[in-house]
Amino acid sequence: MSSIRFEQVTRIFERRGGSYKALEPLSLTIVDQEFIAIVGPSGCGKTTLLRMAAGLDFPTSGRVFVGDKPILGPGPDRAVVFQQFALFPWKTVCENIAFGLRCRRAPKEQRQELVAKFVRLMGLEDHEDSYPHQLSGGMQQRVGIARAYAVEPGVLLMDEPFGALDAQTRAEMQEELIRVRRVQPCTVLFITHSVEEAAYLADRVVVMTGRPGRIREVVDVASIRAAEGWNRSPIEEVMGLESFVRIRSQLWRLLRHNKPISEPPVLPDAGLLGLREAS
Amino acid sequence: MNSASTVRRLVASGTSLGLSTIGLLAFFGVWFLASASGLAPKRVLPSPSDVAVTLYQISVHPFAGYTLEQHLTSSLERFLAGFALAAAAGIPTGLLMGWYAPFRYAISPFFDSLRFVAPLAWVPFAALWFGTGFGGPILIIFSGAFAPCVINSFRGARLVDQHLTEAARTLGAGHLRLMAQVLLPGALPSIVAGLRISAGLAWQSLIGAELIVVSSGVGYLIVQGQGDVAPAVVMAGMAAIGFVGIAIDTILLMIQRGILRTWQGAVQ
Repeated sequence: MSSIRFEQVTRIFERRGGSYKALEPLSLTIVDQEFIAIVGPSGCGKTTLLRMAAGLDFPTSGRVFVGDKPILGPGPDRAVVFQQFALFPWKTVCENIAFGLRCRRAPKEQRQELVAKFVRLMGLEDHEDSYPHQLSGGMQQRVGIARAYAVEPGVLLMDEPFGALDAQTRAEMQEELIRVRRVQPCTVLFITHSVEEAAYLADRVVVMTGRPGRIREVVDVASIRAAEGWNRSPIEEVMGLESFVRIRSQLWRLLRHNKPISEPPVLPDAGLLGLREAS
Repeated sequence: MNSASTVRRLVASGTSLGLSTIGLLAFFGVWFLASASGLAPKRVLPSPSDVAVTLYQISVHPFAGYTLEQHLTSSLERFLAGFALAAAAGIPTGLLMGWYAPFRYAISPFFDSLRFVAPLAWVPFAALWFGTGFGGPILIIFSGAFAPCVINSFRGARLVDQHLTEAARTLGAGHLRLMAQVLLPGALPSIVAGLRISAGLAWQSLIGAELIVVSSGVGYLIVQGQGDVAPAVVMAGMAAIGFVGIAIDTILLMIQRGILRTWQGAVQ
């Protein structure tokens, strides 16, 4: 069972001059094979959640589980796709994809077989011996996804994976992700800034509010997607469908009703200063 | 038209080589004039031509048991052994310090105080523990060359993109693999810069060591020249040290440039 469960998780960062509360007690379960997207403003703690699931960060209180096991560090059951791609610049495409398999001491034949499989699946056939810097951003992230998939994780943790790509490449990659996941099902925790992206990809969209981070609402998309047959149409058509636009607006409204983070904090003694109208 | 702007223009128009030549000529000119005019007596300062002739003579006829070439060879052997040892021990130590904080805290007080102890201060123990043949000098070279290897590897490891180390960890890399396949290549430019500094210090320390503990090598040649009151031999030895030093640094500089070119292409 590749589920991820956050149980009353909080996170307080110690900073110079005090501590900073990144997460309020938060609980969330991502069930096996589910695709969850988290949207929210910068600093709402969404990346912190992903890092906890990856075992790269730990909650101040509460617990995080993968299946029934508490997460004590990075593990073979979870793989991460980074916004910055984080490919090893000194390794070729194939060596990058094979890295996790080598760490697991997979026999050579199995390694070659899996690398070839994901090279094919991600459309990297002509670039096997290229180095990352020779590839476009979109191709680099294909390598990033192939590298994560190659270790056959139950859970894929994607931290704004398409955030550094141009709009066209981004749409292409979103379609690719849906296609690849059909071939190779897994549980996904997907962090994004983009409401469209979240609505298009996810079964459920978690809308978070910032400072301290907490869940505002969880919006179910899977049932609408299935009913309206989104997966049968190309992305540009889906984004024009009335059902899609409705979900998108709903998500936008939820985000907009957050206090904008640029708004200065209301002074506690505002009344005494005669600033009531300003707030 | 002041002279500073003239110098700038000369440099800008690609005449830095010309300026270097002028500098060298001026140096040798002053030296030549000083000894030719009798201002500096020959037993105090040999003339450039004396040194050149002596350089040739000791290359052909043995002095202090060996020819200059043989002295240089035995010096270079010790240098290479000590330098290789310092790099082999210093690079992993530095990477480990950069990667694993407890190790850094455990080792840094010891390391920070030890690196101020001049290599020559090790001479008594070098001779006591490893003798005066090969082992003793190597300890002295090692003590000079180790610190820059460690410090630069450490700095390089600290500068490796955190996303790369996290990617490696989530893919299941252990400490050893992470150091060898992520930190080492990531820190390479810094490591090579450290090796250049380290090589210079190693070569310096070696000559110091040879002045005291051994019976061959360029340092030994200089000591014997001093004993024989042959200032031209002493200076010929010094010139040889300088030339070989430049040669070592040039080789490492070329390696460094090659690595930087590849590396910057890959990392941008």
